[in-house]
Amino acid sequence: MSIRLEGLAKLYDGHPVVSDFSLELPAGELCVLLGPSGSGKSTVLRIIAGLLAADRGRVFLHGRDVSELPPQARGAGFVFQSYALFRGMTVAENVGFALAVRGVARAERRHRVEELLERVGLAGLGKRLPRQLSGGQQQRVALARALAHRPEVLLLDEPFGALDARIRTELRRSLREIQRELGIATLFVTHDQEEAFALGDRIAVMALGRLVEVGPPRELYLRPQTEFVATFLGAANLLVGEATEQGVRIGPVDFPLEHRGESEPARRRVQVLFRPEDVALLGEQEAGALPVLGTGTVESCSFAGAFEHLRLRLPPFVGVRAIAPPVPFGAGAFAVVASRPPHEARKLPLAPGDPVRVAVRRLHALAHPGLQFLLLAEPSAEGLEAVAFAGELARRTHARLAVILAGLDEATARERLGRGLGELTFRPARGGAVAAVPEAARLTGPDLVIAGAPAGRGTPLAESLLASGDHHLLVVRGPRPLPARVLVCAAVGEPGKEDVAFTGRLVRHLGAGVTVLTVLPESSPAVARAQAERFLQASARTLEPLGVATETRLGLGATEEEILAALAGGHDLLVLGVPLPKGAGEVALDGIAGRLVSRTGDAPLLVVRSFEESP
Amino acid sequence: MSRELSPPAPPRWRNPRAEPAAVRWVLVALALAFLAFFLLLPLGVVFARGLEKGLAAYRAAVSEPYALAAVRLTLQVAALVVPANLLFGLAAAWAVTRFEFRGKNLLVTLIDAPFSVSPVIAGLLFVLLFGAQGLFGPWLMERGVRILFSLPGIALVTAFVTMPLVARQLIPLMQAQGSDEEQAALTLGATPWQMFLRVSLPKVRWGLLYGVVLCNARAMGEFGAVSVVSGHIRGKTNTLPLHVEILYNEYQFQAAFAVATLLALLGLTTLAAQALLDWQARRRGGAGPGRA
Repeated sequence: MSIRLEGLAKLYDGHPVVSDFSLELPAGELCVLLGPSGSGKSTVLRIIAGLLAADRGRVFLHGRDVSELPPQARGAGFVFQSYALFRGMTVAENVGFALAVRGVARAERRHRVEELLERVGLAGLGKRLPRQLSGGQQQRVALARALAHRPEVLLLDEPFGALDARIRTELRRSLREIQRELGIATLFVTHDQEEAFALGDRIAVMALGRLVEVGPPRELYLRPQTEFVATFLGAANLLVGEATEQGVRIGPVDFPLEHRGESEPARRRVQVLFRPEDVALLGEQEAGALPVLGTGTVESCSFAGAFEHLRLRLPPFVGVRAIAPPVPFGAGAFAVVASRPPHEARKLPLAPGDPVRVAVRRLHALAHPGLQFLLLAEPSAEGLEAVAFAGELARRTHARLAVILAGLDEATARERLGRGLGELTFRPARGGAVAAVPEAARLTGPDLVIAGAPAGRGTPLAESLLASGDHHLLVVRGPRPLPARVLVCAAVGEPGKEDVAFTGRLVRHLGAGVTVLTVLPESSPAVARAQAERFLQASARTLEPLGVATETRLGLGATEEEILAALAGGHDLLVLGVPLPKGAGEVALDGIAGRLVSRTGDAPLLVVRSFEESP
Repeated sequence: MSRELSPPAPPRWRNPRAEPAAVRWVLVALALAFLAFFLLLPLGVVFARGLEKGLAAYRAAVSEPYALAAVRLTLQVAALVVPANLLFGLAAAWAVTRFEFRGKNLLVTLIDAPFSVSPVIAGLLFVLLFGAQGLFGPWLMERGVRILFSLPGIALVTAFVTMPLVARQLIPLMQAQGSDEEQAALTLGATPWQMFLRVSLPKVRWGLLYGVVLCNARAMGEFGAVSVVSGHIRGKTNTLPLHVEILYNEYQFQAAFAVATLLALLGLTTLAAQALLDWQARRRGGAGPGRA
């Protein structure tokens, strides 16, 4: 292995930017590290080069552990996005720098510099200053400079990010040629998926500091295992359907699946992906062997050279949740993106507003259906109730469950959880129950953390659990069956959307009904009331297509009292939307939320965090 | 009678962002008048008065032993102060732009402090520290070390008042340039010392020289602070500005102005050096250093 990374982790100001990152690159491979900005990919690269120290983990270059070595002893070639050429030196001096600091004789240096400049297509420009060259030429100099000392590995940090499209393509080609010729293991960081496809032998996708998936570009595009990769690489239609014997059912139609992934029989929900080019558009009378999803209308179409891109709107199917493309809140429909080559477009010309039948050529099922829970299993009475509740909830929602064993042994936990759980992992709690949550949350990325707390005394626990990550929180306070009637107390507008949307994701599997409640002061002006009414209607339109029976209620008066009155009227799960900053950090449940936590008896309580920007 | 129809005049487009010509002329004239009144006129007067009794008198005034001693002392002070502030400026700018540490903002503010303190107060501060009744004065006196009324004292106060000049030049420059080049040098195998000499120093060379030029000018011209600590001993602790003042107070106007021309010439040389550096830096691309 040319590069081996083992469990790298890096914190900035206590926030993890890279967690548990491991990757291996064989000799001669070009691997692209792809991820949205802020996903920690440049940090990984700098750790390999020795420009940053990792907090945990080891770096091996050609089998040698270099974790403790300074950058100059690691012998990696590094290319920066800013080129980072030495501005006062000529091109030749730049390229020869690594040799000069090593004391290589002048004649030999000149020979090597000329050879390198020729290789990157800059022969004869050695006497120029960097600023007399174009951006593309400067980056060629940077590449030649990084190769001068014959490094064992080459690291490139978004090297073509500042260049225009045509020059990028050119540079990509020369980089690929040079890299093949030298057979040097190369790690290339970019956020541009087109670049990743064009360059990579393999692509490693990163998100939130973690490695999500790694594989050949084709494999990742056609058969991603995770929702993130499915939606990040290329345009995607991603739906949650119902698993059947032969394949998957979406609304009224059964689709065969070419490849079921590693599906387990217990699983009944399945995320399916079809790419825009997998969509076939048929005229109203046209017959075909392909399974037809339904008849929709064309919402927009645009021309993009070799393809026509369309966005279609289909009526909602009961029980089918759309993940991508995102549907506007309260739209009561779902959207499909399609693309087709010109000869198909000529056969069936379409304009916005036209009806069209939507068929699907190929479907791919993702490895897991989406929800991930993290359970804090404690031996207290409420803790044991939480374990049972979580088991039941995970079974019904087909969620993956990670359990932190805090004083409870695995056998007891398994017994309380019950059978028929999809994916179940256990981890011991080191250094206290609550203290173990942040790390487990970092590693598993849960949607929801579940914990038990005695009635009326859950606030501090709730605060520290919410502070440890990005997740929502379910507090179980007594022996309760799964809820049948859920009360969602939602704020109006953007923050409220996440309250309703997450409740829908969870509750749709339980067959429970939902009441969405919004409380306004009695003195509210008519405008505010009208806005709240619109929000409530949109909430119903969002929930009902998921098969969730929805009631809405606009309360006028004191928020706390209205909520308590509604809860007393036969609801058995309270959902509280709390606006919290994204990411881990200090949380204070003061005001109404805090008082409600202590005044709501032993009913389970779901705290949904809504972020400043909607996720 | 028929009248020739003249073709329509082409529309006259005015740059919408440019002020009318009248405004421009008034502003330029104002600036020039100001400059003439406050700079050119006094400068002219200094030279005219210095030369009013002819070249021989001028030469006598500037080559008189006390004047020469003042020149020597001034140059000595500059030779001590400029390198000291060069080192301090580099170290401070490096620390501020490369490291994160507690009290960084305080350091940046404190670097500027000598500019906001009156030079006379600065001089008094040193008297309080090193004077006969001062904090360290008696202790130093016992050991025969003399700070006040001698070269060390003058150099110390001058260093104090000129302290911000180099650092102030370097900090924004180094902030703008970032540390990518340094990081590149490290990945290419340079030792930290090689990185500093071959990459960091050349990068800020022009800014550094500019700071040195300013520092030098101020070090030679400083009056207030030096006046407090020097003791005005002719031939011993008089710098050029102090010497000018003494001559003036003794009604030797021609001699005073003749010596003043020396200071003025120093200032003009500095100005020229500054302009040259500016021009050089622009020619080499931004604030870039020249070829090694």
